[in-house]
Amino acid sequence: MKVRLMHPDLPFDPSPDLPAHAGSVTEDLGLHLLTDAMARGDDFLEETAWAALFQLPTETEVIGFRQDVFVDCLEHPDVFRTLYAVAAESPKVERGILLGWGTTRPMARLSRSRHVMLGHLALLRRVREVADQHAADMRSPGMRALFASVHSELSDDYLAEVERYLDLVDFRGGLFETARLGLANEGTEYVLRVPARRPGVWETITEAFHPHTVTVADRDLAGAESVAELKELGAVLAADALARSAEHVKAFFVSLRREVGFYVAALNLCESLRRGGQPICRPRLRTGVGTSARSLYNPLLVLRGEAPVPSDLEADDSGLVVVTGANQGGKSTFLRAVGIAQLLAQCGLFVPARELACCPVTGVFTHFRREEDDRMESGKLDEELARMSAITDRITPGSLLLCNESFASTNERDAAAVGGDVLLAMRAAGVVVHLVTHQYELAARLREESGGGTFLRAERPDDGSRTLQIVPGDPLRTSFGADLYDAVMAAAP
Amino acid sequence: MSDRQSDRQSGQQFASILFPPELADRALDDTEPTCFSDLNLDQLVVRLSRGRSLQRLQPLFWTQLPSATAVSYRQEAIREIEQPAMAAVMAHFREGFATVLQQLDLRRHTRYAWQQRRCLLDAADLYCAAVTDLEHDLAASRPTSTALQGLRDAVRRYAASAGFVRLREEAQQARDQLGRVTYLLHVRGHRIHVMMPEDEADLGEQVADLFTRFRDMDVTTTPVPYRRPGGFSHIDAAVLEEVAALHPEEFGTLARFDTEHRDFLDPTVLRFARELEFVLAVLELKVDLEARGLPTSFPAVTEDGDATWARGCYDAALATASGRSGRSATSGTSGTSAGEVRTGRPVVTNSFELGPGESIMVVTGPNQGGKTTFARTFGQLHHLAACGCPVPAEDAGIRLVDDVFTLFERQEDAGSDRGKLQDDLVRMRHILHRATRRSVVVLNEMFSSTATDDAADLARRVLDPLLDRGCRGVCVTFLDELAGYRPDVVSMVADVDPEDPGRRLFTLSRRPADGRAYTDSLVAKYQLSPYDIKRRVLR
Repeated sequence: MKVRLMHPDLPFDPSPDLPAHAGSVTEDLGLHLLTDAMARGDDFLEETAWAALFQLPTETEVIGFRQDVFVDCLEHPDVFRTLYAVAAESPKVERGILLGWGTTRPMARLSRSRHVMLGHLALLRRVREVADQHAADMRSPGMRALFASVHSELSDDYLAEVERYLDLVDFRGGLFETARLGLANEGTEYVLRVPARRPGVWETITEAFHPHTVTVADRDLAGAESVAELKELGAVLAADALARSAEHVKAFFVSLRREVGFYVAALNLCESLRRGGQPICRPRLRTGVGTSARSLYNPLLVLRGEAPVPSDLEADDSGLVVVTGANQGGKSTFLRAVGIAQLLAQCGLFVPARELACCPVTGVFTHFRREEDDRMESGKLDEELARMSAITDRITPGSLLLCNESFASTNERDAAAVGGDVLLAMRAAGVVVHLVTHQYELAARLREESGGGTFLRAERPDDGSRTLQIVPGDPLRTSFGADLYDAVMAAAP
Repeated sequence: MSDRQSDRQSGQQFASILFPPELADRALDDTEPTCFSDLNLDQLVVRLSRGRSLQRLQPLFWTQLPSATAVSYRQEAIREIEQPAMAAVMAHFREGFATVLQQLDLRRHTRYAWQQRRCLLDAADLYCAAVTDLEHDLAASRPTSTALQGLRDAVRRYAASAGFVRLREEAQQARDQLGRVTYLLHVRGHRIHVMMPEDEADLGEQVADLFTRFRDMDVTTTPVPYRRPGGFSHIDAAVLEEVAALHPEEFGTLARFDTEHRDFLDPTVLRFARELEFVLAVLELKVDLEARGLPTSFPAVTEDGDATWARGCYDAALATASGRSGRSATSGTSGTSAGEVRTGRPVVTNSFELGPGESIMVVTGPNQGGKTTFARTFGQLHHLAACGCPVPAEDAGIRLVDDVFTLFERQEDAGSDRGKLQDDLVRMRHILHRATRRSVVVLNEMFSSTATDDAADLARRVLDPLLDRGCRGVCVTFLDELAGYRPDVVSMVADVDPEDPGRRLFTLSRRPADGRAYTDSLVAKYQLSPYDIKRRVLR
């Protein structure tokens, strides 16, 4: 009974802590808005989304495996939503059982586990129903395998057998246990036993005359307590075993909820984007470096109810993309769109574009100019470089580094010298770099010394208005701060 | 345990790892020596008895050995047990023997016959294993000390004796038989039916098997242990009776074993086990001190040596008074190494030597300068050496003492000066009465309540007879005139930092008393010279 919807062979484990750079990536790309749209208020889905966004598979086959499952999900959303709802019942089963909560007494634990199991038995039957109904509709290998295993592993016979054993743990006919003699002739190695046969009517009548019987006198409270202890001793191992079994069953439902939930979360996002009238597409993953896209847009704008400005990008085989151009020319938005598309595509999901082809990266890192930087005058470059150093601690060859106005806290010349050195070294180390900058000298140096790369500009038509589109173009010496100044002044009352 | 051949070889037969045969039957001191509290040895013994029976250990720490050969008998034994291989042998035996005593203890406390019998069997069984292992281990480790060779031979003879062999075989047989006993309980309501099991399946296992198909990722479940609050009760005893009735053969064997082996403990083995605790306590102290970066050593102990000396010695009670610290430091000026106690004050080591014709060190110098600590150290070295123990010093040559006498100022009798002086004199009279040329005296600020002229005179009157007798000792005093007043008096002075006279170094040097030098430097430090005062007052 394995759930394998995220990887053909491996379970999805969300437990590893998010990487240290996850915080800045989240903040820089504005991922909270994205995960909110995925989760729709469901904490479990949100947690799943975060874990998936920061555990990117790098094999194109795994990504394709997920894409196939997601196609099933887009075509049969009800199946996924129902499975998710059933799996989400699991924690409620346990919450509903007050008996034996927090106790260490084996008999109470045993009884609690039994009730937990009975509750889950009902859920297993519902999972089985969904599988029986929809097995034929599924096309992806992931979903077909899941439903096949549900069908065979949760057979009627099996479910009946489970019920029979859970019934035994109720001890209505008394409790059977074996023991051996330990030090000081105290009983040890107590083990609960399945009675060879149920005591019949005859035994019930004659048991009072059993030759080796110890009977507790009516008012012997200490004796009664001692008998209770003997039962507890017997129940220790079985209580552990049943508790462990219950954990396994619960873990199955957690996996089911997690892996189905991933696609439900993705479905939520896609529905939101479609409602905003925007296209989504199944991205093409290939090996190598570079990204190319048609009508790539930043989904966060759609989620905020704004109209995005789609851009095209032709950077196949390019490990360096530099975007220059006017302030507030849509450069940052574009950079975020690239980053988010990379994350979604590599997660195995659909992306906000008409067409997109990209290559798996080993990690996505961001180095964005921070708003708060403006407040602290001294030590800004110090702080920037500290962050860059922290990134350097973690980044690996084949990672994607998104830089937004990095080194802008220093003057053009220093930025060109320091920033140029850093980014060229990153490139040389095999890191894919996307840089957005208004600093001409830095861009120019990269243009000169990188030996390739894609250079884009935030496009500015001649009339001085902004279309916020990103088009190919070499760095220009002038920025457009004057325009912005004029615009702001004009808007002021 | 008797063996004539061995008797012939050693004169008398082995009885103890702490006392040579001729002293083995001597009674131990049953009261604490009066010097113990002054030297802080009482605290030290309590500390190193932790986890052991203080009552059993104390007499061994109180009793000084009467001869240098007895000291080396014990030193050799301790040194050999200190070796890692032998230490492991001893630790193993100790662990095994502790379980024997535990079961015997349980036997005394239970009132159910089948439990009592089984406790005896358990104890005997564990005891046989401990003795057998000890015999094997001792033979394999080829001891070199007289004590451990004697032990090895004694244990070998004992382990081969008919009585022990029978004990071992019968214990094993009974244990094996009982080990095979299993029984099935059917607990229903207020009745328990005791039956023979018939291969009933394990319920927990069956359930677990049923759910193995859900195992995918590891789940974290910790087994929850259950400790029955009530313990073995009359119900358990009644069940045990029924189990016995179901297994008459096995329990018959147990009953026979019980009647035949009531007193199986061999007295020599028992004595060894108790004396081993002393050795291990001593070695724990040694390890503790060394972990603090402080040296220890087994001193050369003589009965009539000319010299008494120690290099790198320190107060062991002070050093162990605080939590553990592995740090060590070297103080530059005196070249002494020092462990550091938690208070931040270093444990300072000192060196001294009393050569031929030198008897008593008179220690002078600033207050809080380590004088009293040094005096205690001197006393501790002599007492511990006489107990055959390692001493808190890098290296030492100690003359065996017949007694250590101390005279420390008593806080509690803070009555009139006259009362205090009288008390000092009464105690001094006792010392003068008993001290011999083999005694050690440690006198700390005696007669401090009297006027200086008087005190110096009294002190000389006390010291003269001790010196004449040839006692060794330390006399801490504020009376500079006592320093070196006779050729057999050695003057020791507590050092201060020449750069910063307010700072004590806690080391002592052998040099003439120099009370002024110290006060002059303090005056300079606080700018209180006449010139300074004039300058500061008039500015």
